[in-house]
Amino acid sequence: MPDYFIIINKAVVVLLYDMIKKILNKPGEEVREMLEGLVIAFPDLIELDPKYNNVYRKNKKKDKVAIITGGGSGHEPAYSGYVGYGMLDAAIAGAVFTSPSTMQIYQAMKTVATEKGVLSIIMNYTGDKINFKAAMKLAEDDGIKTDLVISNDDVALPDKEMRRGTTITVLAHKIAGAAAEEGMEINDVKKIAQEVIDNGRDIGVALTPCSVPAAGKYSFELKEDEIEFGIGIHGEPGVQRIKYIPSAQLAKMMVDKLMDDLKLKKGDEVILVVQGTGGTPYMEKLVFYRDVMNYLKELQLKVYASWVGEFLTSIEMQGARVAVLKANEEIKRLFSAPALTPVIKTMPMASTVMS
Amino acid sequence: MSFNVEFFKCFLLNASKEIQKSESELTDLDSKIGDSDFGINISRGFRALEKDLKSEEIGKLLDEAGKTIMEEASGTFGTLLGSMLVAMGKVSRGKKEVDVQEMKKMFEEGIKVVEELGGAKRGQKTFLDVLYPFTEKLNQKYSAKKVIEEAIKAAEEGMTSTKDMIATVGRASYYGERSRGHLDPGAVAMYIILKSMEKCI
Repeated sequence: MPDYFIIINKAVVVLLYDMIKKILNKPGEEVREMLEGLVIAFPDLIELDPKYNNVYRKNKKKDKVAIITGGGSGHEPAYSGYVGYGMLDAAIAGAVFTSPSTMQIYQAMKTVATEKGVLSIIMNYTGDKINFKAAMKLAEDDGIKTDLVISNDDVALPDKEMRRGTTITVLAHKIAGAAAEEGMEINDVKKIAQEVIDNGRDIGVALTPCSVPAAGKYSFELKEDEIEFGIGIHGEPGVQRIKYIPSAQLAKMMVDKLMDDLKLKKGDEVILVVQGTGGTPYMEKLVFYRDVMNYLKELQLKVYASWVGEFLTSIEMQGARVAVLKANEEIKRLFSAPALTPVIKTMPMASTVMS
Repeated sequence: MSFNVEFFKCFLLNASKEIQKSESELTDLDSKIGDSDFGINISRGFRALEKDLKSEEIGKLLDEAGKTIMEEASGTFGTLLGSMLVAMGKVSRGKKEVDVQEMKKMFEEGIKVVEELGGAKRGQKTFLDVLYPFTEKLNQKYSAKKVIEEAIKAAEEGMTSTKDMIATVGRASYYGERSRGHLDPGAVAMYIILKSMEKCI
């Protein structure tokens, strides 16, 4: 525990905070309290099972594939912010940067199960994979149809098997969520989710590290004039440390990395996500978004729609992520299909979401 | 020669006591090639299981024990051990006793699930290096006591063999070559668990 009491002369109690200041109550309680806050804000859309820290969609539909996800907390608004009509049926929250337990996941599968089955769309992390697979075994023993899609969209690491799941996972939730809402069968929903992951890439940079509430220390150190390039989403160091460069140059460097890996060419149409990593001011996010958009225009890529804001963060880290998804007609249609969640509210004619 | 439901209850209860006794030893081992929360985590899982051992049927007993461990010990070891017990329970569903061949089948199914979920194979410095030699010894024509003794002896050799291995899966793999020279904490825990069968014959 980062805070502790020292009793001096049995009368004076001194509270020592060996921690980084955060607007929280008690370490270890932050995830449940945060989810309670979210559910108080959106009582018509979502509900919380406080025993398991599972957030469920209200007004569940019985004749659709249920879409669920889960992972460590600290990435807000992922994933509880995406529970609702047209997106997720359940989000399962582990402790900060820690996989949820098998039983938490199993409980969610039992709660949302329909005849059409439960599809988990998760990120490529060892703990998450083991716990989701173990929960699927338990659910299958109960006669629940399950399947799994694992996202590995982060371009920072050269080895595809090692690549981590990042922002494209959220686009997969949106698009697969819409496909499920339309009544598609689990195999088809899985296919479209996999297509999104195969055609999407993400890259992130950090200007500052982040700090896990219970740890009370920063995840790495960066000098004033340094940028960490190719970061994950858990405050782990990136693949490269570069000298500070202005926003426009950073935008170019990051987009180039995505372009190369996706082999995008003139005239291709993309869906774009530009976001801060939790502690980036809106001024910086919008300047950076502008620079990314300008550079994509220069490259003659068409942006079908974009999200700008905060979608998959790393606690209070200051930094940015860019994700692009190469879009075909079906992906575009499902991306624009209606959704009503705390964060994503899609309506016809609204091509930009700002969170 | 067979193993009844009382044997399995005794086994799980003893395993819980032995794991709790070894909590700090396991934590020390884990601090060398892991993140130090292993002993506490698995000990919490077993403590919770003690009050669960009520079923009069082997399959249900193991199923409930596995699920309790998964609920309380949410780390990778807890998930894999819990899934292994659930898988063993599936093979012994409805049984009040099993013979040594059935026992072997149960452990084989357990190993299969652990490999499938954890993505590890024998020889990668994990508790599979204890489970495999143990299970292989479960096919002799000796008395129950002798079979278990021999299997535990093989398990001990398996545990010791992890010292010279390099971890290539799990968190210990981040240590690469530096993982050599340390026993694998999961292998030690699995040996402690299996060894606690000894007193139950």
